[in-house]
Amino acid sequence: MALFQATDITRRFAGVVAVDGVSLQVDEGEILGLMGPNGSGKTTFINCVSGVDQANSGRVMFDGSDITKMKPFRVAERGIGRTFQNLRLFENMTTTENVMCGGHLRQNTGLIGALLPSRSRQQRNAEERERAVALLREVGLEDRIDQYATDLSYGQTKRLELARALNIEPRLLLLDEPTAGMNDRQAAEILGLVRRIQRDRGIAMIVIEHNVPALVWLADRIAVLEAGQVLVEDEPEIVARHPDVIRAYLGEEALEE
Amino acid sequence: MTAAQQTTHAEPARGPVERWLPAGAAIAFLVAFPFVADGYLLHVANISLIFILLAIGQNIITGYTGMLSLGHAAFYGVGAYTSALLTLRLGVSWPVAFLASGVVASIVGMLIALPCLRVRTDFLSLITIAFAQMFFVVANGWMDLTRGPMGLTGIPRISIGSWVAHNDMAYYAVFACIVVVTYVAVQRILNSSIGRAWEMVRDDEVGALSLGVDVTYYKVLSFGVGTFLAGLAGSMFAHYIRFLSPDAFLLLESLIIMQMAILGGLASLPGSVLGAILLISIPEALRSSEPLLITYRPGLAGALLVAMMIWRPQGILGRTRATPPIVRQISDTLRRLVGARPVANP
Amino acid sequence: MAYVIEQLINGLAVGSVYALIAVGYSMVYSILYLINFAHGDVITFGAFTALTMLVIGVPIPVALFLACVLGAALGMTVERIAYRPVRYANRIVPMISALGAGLVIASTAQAIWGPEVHAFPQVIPRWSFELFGQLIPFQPLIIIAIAVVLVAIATVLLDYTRLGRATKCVCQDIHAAQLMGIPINTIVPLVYAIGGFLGVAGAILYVTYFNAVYIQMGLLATFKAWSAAMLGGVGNFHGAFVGGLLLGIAEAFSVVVVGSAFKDGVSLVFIVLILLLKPDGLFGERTTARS
Repeated sequence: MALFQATDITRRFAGVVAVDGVSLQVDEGEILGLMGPNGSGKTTFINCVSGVDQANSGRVMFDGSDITKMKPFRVAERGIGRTFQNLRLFENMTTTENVMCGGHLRQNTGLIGALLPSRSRQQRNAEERERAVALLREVGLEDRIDQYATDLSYGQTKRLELARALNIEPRLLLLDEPTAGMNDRQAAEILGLVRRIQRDRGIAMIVIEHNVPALVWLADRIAVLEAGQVLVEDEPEIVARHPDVIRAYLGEEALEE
Repeated sequence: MTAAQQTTHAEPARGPVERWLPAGAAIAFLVAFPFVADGYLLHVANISLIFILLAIGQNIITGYTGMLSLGHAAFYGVGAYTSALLTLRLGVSWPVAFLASGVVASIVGMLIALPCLRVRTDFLSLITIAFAQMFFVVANGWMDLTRGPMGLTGIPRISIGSWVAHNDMAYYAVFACIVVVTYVAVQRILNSSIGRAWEMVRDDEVGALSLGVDVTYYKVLSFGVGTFLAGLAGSMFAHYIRFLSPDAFLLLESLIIMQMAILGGLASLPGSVLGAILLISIPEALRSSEPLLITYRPGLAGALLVAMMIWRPQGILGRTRATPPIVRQISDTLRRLVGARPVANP
Repeated sequence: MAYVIEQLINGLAVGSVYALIAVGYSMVYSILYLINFAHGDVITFGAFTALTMLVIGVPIPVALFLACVLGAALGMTVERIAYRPVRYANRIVPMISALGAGLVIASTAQAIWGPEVHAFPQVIPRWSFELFGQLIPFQPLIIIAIAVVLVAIATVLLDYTRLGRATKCVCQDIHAAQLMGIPINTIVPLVYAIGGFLGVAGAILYVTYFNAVYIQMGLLATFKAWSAAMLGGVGNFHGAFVGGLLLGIAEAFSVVVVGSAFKDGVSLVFIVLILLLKPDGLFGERTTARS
């Protein structure tokens, strides 16, 4: 049985059907690439399955349990982490604190626990800090430890968000355009990092990405959305040669000119 | 922005001296103060101690969790009336009434705020002002219970067992202890996962949700703790002044508490202490010599608020940096997006 | 029956005034998620200015129009000084700035006109006429007519001009609008100007109807206007108008049913009920956070 299975997800906004009966599944440790033109419903799909938005109909199963109507924080508790297309970092915290926030579910003490003096808590705090520093090193931010998140370059903030999402120890990671707004070299670095993380940790992922060759290199399987529906879903090489995909992408390029 | 802010480490390693020196100095000052101050100064100090609690409560709600509550004085009033009525009508002892006033204010606060915090936190400001108006109408109109505008008189002095606080010095000792204990407790909460969750909620709710933070729970908890402190402060006030009337808890008072939290520094505990001391003592000092300043105090305070939000939103001692980096980042992002793709993905 | 009709007309008149005031709150909130606390004080200031001009003998239409223009200018000034520098900061920052700006305007008004309640000249006569054997008051009908005309003009401006359509775009998504090259720094002040103009018009009708103008009325107006805006769905221009009318009627009949002491509580009850039951208003779409 698949780790993650979304069945027939539909989301309408004021008459527009943004996601129209999309069914997708991800196996343990697999990377599913998600592509499609702007407005094809990729982000809306991610929002619906992570609880940020509520689908009008459909069902989401994760690790054998139904998470369809769950609030986003419950979805995170179950082990689904995510990043956002337009970054959602904590602006008034340092890089290390941002990553430590990812450990919230492990550190939860409750009000009474917080008031009582406790050595072990101090020690746990130190451990969490070390963990965060290790994660910052893993994503290549070793020279940015303890600096304010807002002092980072754009590419670095994307890495920081990735490290933060990793700190909840997800079994499935949803990456919404991790390379948006980057040049080719930066984008290649980030995707290389994503690949390495997947190999080292065996986390399943859904990655939204526009660059077709990059996604073919990264993903185990690719699904293409168009106008809210799954156009094709197959092995990367097959998807890349699919005439509908070529047409859809030429169409988008024509739009850009 | 200064060069120092660009690259400084937010929390430099601190040795035991750096950590304990400010605390030691503060305690030494608290202990020494009554021996050098005259009776009037001691009175100002007692009022300041009450307002330190109020400012800290407001700061938890507004500075740490990012919710605008404009009815803090009403929860202060709920605490004051609870404590006064419990001791006057039911003969409850002060320590019990003191804790009860915190609990009652907190429960009322959470019930008032819950519907709003679930859906539209922005509207908390409206809801809290509305609650303050309702509180005034009830306190003013329920003659049998509160004696309305005539006020409650003869509220007993603070007493613990057989010991009674007979003069301002005794009140000072009790108030100082309460404030120190509260300060340490709040510090602990802020350093725990709760404090960090509050700051996550303030900076980005959706980001916090994606990390497993139950945003509504932490908002309600923050409001509950903040109004608990307001209730405690109300009890202190009621048994110190020993007279209560509804007009001590109007919107203007809420705005002053808000100004204390902002002036000292949003998301800074020492800032709240400083803000409360400054905004109690400065008007006291100017009351007789500059009456016009007092008349137009709201306007002056308003101008100060606007100026601070623009140039120093983090207040005098605050660490929160709310404006410049965000503006820079948004404009950078927009520029990149424009370069990369003509239309943003919905 | 006659009493019911009279209450209905009064309710509609007061409600249409709430709607005019609500526009300034509702549009600003839909763009910036900012509760424009200064709006109540801006319109109070405008009403006082109208009073002074009438007292020194400026012709009525000129005085009222100039006061509305002043409201527009004041709204734009507040935006320029207090909001624009903090537009993209944490949401709480502009709200505190708005609160501060409101305090400054209220204090200035108090310095000029004093804290007492002033009577307002009857710019619309209080006649009545007979229709089908019923005595119909004249003033509320004129108030409704003026409000409808103003809202109609604003609707035409918003729906049929380039600038108006751009404004609607900005209301939906300020960032996307910016990306499409819409000049935000023209549109946002314009929204404050429209809000200020209609708000002062509403405030003048309000003080005419109740024959009193005073410093604190901004706060009361704020609640009623917000209640109206939330009933219709915040950001929904016509929703606010319908919401205002509903609130006005509800208030009028609350006087009949439970007595006038609780009239001002109706708006509060509405706000709480909407938050509990239908947070996006009676005509609102369910919206979600964008990510």
